[in-house]
Amino acid sequence: MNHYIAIAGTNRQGSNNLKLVKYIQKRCSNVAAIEVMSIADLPVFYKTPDHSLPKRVVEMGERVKAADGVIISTPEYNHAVPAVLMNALEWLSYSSHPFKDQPVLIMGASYGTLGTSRAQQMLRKMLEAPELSARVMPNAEFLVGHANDAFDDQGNLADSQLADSLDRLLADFNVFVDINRDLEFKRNDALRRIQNLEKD
Amino acid sequence: MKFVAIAGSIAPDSYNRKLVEYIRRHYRDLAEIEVLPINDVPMFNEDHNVTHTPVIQNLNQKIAAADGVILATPEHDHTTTAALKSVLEWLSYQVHPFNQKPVLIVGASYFSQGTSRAQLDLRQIMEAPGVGAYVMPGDEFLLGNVREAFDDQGNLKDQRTVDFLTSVMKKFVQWVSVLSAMDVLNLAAEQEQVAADTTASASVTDEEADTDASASITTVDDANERAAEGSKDDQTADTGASASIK
Repeated sequence: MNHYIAIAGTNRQGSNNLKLVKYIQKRCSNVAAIEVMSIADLPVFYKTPDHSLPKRVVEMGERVKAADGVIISTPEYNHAVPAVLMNALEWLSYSSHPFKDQPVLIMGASYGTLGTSRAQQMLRKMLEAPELSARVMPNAEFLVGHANDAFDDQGNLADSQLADSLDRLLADFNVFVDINRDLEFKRNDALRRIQNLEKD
Repeated sequence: MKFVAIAGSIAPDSYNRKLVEYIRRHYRDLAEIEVLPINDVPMFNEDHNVTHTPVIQNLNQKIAAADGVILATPEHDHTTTAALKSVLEWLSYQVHPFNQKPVLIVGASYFSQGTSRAQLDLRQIMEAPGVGAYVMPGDEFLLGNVREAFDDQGNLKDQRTVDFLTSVMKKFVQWVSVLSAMDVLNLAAEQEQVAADTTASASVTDEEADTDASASITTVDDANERAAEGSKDDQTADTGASASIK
């Protein structure tokens, strides 16, 4: 069974995106081993002059690298990815690049109707930047709108059609992850240029 | 004119801070510019709300009082920075000093893109409801290859770059002047309209007005608050308030 790290792009306890990743962990436990990883309580990112990383970032990076893939559920703040998630990704793309070639599945939950469409677009763009170089599952948008009403008291998605489509999405992600293992690109120019900068 | 400038990096050797410091010195005949540090701003977290502490209130008041704001953004992961986004989240959650504020976006990067992608994303963020800034359109100041751009005194070396930046700064002064004039007119018209809507749709007593979201918005500030509470996750489609957010 594939092992995935699931990240909710929040530091808020009551977050619907946290509910979503915990729900997927439970619901899809027969097709994937999913481990939820917190991104809260990291210092604000800056390029440390000696290229050192906080110990927690090193540990998070190792977990990301060791996983078969990553699932990220992002809220949307101001038409964009929340700073707390941007921050975790900045730490995980400086001096060490654990996301390189890792398959990533993007989703999100919002209060309103739009289901984090703009944040997901931005997140996709970030993950494809050379510093991250992730392999984002294409043609996949999972948008949970009206998130405050989307979960029942046990934290399950109340809409059974949405839940079924989630099952199909995870099944496709499993296929994507397996194929991705054989996909080796020879080019590394953009990331190498970044890594040369990091050596200065 | 009084501007404030923020560099979107807390690194000790930030080139974007070098850029705003240069702008502050070089254009002091155009405007008095104060550079606001963001090093002490904690990561945005609704569960640990620091809106009413001095760190955020200082930024809030200075931005609200300024005629315009200059934002210098680095580019990481093909977008703007978490450090800057966190500040913007604090300043669009329970306080909204950027509402109707003229903003200029600039940026400096190591390689040739000059923060092209970061500036587009920052523009999108600044124009979102809950932030509501008036970002100057048109010319983009993209300072690429920044490691060769400054001399030892922290001044831009290339005269053509300086000339272009000067034209951008002069346009920004004009942008601020035009918006200041419009602002007064718009705000007055808005308040009249909101008052008219409230009267037309209000029920017999004030208490009953709460059943209809638009009728219970008695001031433009209420509308902003309502949208802001939802703006941390998108809610613009749902609230009638979005139409009256400037």
